[in-house]
Amino acid sequence: MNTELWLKKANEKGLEAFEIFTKSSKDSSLSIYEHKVDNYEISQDGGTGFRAIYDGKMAYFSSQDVADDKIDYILDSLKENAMMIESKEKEMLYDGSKEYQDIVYNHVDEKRVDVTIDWLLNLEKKIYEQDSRIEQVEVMYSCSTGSTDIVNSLGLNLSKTKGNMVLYVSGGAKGKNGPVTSYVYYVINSLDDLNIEDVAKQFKDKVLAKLDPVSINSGEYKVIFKNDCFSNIMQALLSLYNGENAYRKLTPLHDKLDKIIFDAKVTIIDDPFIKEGIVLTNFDDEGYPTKSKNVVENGVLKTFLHSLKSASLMHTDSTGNGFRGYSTPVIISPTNIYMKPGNDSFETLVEKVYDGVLITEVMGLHAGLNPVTTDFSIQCNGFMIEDGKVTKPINLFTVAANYLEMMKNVMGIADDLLFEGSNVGSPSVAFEKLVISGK
Amino acid sequence: MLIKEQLQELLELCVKHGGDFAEIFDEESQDEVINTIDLDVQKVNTSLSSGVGIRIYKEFQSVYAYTQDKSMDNLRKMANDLALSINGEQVIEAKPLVKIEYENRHPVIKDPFDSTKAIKIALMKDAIGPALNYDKRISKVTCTLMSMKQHVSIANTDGKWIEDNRTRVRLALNSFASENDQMQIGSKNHGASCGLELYDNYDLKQMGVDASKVAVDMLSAIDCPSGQMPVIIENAFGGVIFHEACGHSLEATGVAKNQSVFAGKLNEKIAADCVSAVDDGTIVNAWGSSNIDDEGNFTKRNVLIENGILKGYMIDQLNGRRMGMDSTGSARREDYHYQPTSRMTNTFILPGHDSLEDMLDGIKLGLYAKSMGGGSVNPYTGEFNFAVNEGYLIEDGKITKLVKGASLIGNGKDILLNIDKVGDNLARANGVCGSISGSVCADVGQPRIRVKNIIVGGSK
Repeated sequence: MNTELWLKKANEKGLEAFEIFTKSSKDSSLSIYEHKVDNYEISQDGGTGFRAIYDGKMAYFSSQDVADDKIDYILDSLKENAMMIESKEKEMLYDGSKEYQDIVYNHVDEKRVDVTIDWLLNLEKKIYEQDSRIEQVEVMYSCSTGSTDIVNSLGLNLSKTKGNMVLYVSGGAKGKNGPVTSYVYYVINSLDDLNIEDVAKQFKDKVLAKLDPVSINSGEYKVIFKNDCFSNIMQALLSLYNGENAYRKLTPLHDKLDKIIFDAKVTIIDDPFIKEGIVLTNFDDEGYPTKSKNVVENGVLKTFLHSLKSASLMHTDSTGNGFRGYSTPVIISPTNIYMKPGNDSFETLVEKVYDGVLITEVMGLHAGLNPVTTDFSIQCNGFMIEDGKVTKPINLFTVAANYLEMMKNVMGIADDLLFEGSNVGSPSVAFEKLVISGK
Repeated sequence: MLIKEQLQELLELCVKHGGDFAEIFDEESQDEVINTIDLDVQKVNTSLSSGVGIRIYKEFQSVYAYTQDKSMDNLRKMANDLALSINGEQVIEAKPLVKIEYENRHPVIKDPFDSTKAIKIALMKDAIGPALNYDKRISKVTCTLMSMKQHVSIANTDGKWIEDNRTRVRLALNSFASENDQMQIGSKNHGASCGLELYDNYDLKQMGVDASKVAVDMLSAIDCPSGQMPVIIENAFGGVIFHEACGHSLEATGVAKNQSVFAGKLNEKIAADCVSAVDDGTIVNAWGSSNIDDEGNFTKRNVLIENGILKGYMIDQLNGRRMGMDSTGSARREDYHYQPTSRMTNTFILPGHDSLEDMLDGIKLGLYAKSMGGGSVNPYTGEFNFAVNEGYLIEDGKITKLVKGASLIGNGKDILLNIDKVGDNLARANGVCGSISGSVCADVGQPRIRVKNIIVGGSK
């Protein structure tokens, strides 16, 4: 693609500003089932997203065929899209004038495919050797590398790369009353980061602990949400901190800046550089520099997350949280967002709760959680907490509450911060009284 | 799109090293999304997508490659690399391709990509205006009109070559009501596999009003009780109970590997006698319909359950090999990025004869689930959930107070046996279903039904 030609033509057609956003990726994945390679997948993919400002309005167009002979069609389509916009809100691109933090991008070390297959087959074998009740094991591996390039008519010209590797094991165990399922999930830079024996044991421990679950009586209980579980709930509520939602009064926090919203134990941080998170970038997808910031500090809402547009609407600066896919418009998204861990170990938190429920899995967040009211009612699996210890597995129950109300009264936060292969992390968190529905 | 000679050459390359079946999936798509906030158009986004997916089987193993680079140099290299990964001696030849022609079952009269954006925006405002004007407590209305067109060409080593064009439109509206410090949302949507003629005889004004009514009413909803109780689930999107409790667990995706609670249960009783259900990808212009599935097989009306007895699964070709059963025309994928696997199309419980009065009779405390959200399931264990968005208490046989949402949970193997009444007002509604082959458009549906006993995850 001759970007200079595209920029020149865009200018000739009267587009006040024009940006070319290109993403490309190379992926491979393998899955092992019943001691064989069940599936192998390779790909090379990508596309280009264009956005332009015409008569003050921003429009989007994307394509995977961006040969130079498509210039007129695509630029004219962008203009047509822009002319349909009725909103008078200010739109802008970024010129790259601020400083960027120095960064070393993540690099993955992918082995030859036959070496990888041997490693995965070996892991599957070790898992089955752990216990005869283990069944239906699937070992999945994927590796993705990619690049993003942003060029625009204001002089922005940036590139970044990313690489990540995932190992995911799922499977079941046969219990007296039916099977249970579990998984383990690792984000790594190389298979050498993992020890096969440790992974096999972790999977075995996780799945066997769930065997033969019992029902729980409906009632009010003290509850600990395990770290991976609570990060799922946080993830479903990221719209709370969205700057554009704040401007449009579509988040219940819209008028709560600098006000107490949560328990003083709660600090929530958005950090593009934390090594445990999966995002590592010194600029967002508008080319704006990223930075670490406290979204909530000791229970007080300190900032919303902003893109260029929402920041302009709220008369503040972008926080470097404008992200997009090549075929989708810029939306506000965190980099790595997490709740700051506390000082208690997980075991200490369990002792403090003494009698209650440990929730280790939540399901149905996409439907059972209302991001506007923050009411939620979601399916759970977990364990009883009895006399300060984690005891019987329990299943088929729900927990229901209002998230904003719940977070005003946090019983305790453990020190076990975990990002399980996502950009949202959390430690385990305990609450005094939540409604559980079971038997 | 690739021509016959190119497809043939690639298929021949695919089976050079031991593959016993190969398939090329060639796709070109365009999507357009128009977003509004109140009466202002906020965003207009067009995206063009084009790519190829190459799949090779050897017995139960499959290998897959996809790319957006359709140059023959790249595709040859990809086909070759993929074939070499099988690493065996050639066992089949690719049969000469014969194009299958057929009549399109799903006519499009007003192609959304031939309509001007002005027409589309005017259509959206027919719903937005009434939504905004419904009540002074309506603080915001957002609306999205999505148009998509997908052209696919599928060729395989059995000599099959077949194409399909799929056009879909969907209008979705969210209405926000605010009072004091509280905000609630009401959502409605309507879409189908056709063009904008869908909205010619559809009451867009009522759609806007209905969304706003839900939002305003929910401002005074009380907490939902929790525990086990009888639930009456209304029609249309109420069908999500079947989709989650049973539908996914009848996809060969899980059944073939014995990772489903209904695996190995053909011709056994898995539901109450009053329950019959089908998955039908042939319904003219329905949201989940298409002429062919994504392996090139014609879609079918598949009877899943008949009077409580499991009669069939939804099966794609690869999983059909594991099961020793034929494809049911159920292979679907979001696009070329994904390998196909068996998925639902338009899945619904068939109508019965019970009235609402029959269903309310004898309920001391229960829930009337008028409008549902989505849900999810673990097909292996059978445990599922789905959300009630608009529900009412049933007290002493009468529908009484509006309650805030709650999730209903259960196990598919038990819940279908707990349906004891089936009404006669069958209707379907659009959903988007996610699974390992990506997001696909699927209708859910049912008449009003009564479930004797289900866990309601209320907050009281």
